[in-house]
Amino acid sequence: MSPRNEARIREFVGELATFAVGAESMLSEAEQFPGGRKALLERFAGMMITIRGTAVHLGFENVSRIATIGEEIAIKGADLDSNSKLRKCIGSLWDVVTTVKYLIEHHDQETGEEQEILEHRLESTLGSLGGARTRVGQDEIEALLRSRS
Amino acid sequence: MGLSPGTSVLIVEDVQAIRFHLRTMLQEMGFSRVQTAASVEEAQLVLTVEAVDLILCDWYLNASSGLDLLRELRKSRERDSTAFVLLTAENAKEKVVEALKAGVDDYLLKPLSAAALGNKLAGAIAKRKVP
Repeated sequence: MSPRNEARIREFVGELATFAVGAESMLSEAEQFPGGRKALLERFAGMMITIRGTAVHLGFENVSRIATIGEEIAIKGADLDSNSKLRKCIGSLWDVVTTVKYLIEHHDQETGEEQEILEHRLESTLGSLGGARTRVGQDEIEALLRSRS
Repeated sequence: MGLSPGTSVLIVEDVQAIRFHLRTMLQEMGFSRVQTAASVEEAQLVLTVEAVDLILCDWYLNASSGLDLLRELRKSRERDSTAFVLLTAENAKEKVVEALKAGVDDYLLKPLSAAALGNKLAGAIAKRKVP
């Protein structure tokens, strides 16, 4: 890898870590201020998309997968009325942030068994909240664009 | 007119590393008029100074949204001809449909290749019929 590419990757990783810290702050705020929780969880979901967008540029598939689950759980959490479900949701989002931070810091290592177990647990939580929304790829987007015109 | 080196492009992206990466990609494609903004507010400042042919914009920009910028753009008669391409990792179908309804000229998922970017920009410019 050229020094230029290495420097670019370091820059990306540094920024990715900053976003993870930002997501952590949002979650703390959502816990402390229930009134603004919906908006904060929606912003948290947006932050997860930003993290995912940066992670896919770097080829960090493990970060991308966890951020995707975090995004979906946050979207579900934003519309929850039940306090017990909300607590479970926020607890899961803490796991998401902690794992994302860990994976970014150790991006040169293979994903461990612990992360895989956590990923399954998060998927199970998401399933209990109603599951993920339908996602589309670039080809389906092209079809949607054509059907619009 | 399609895409030409004289086409002016504004990149709106809050991730600095991606912003620089996109600018480099466009410059390597031959574009000499590339500006960047890290937020909707910065983009609005750029647009008050000069019109651009095309905006390449992320969806989630800290507390603001690329769609807010698009909606404002489409309200303005002078800037309505500006092509707007959304570049995002957002791929939930309901959100993609929302963006299409808001009037994006094209929608590009991250990560992207230089070839895909070139095609999308050319298509979006042609659609808006930039003279």
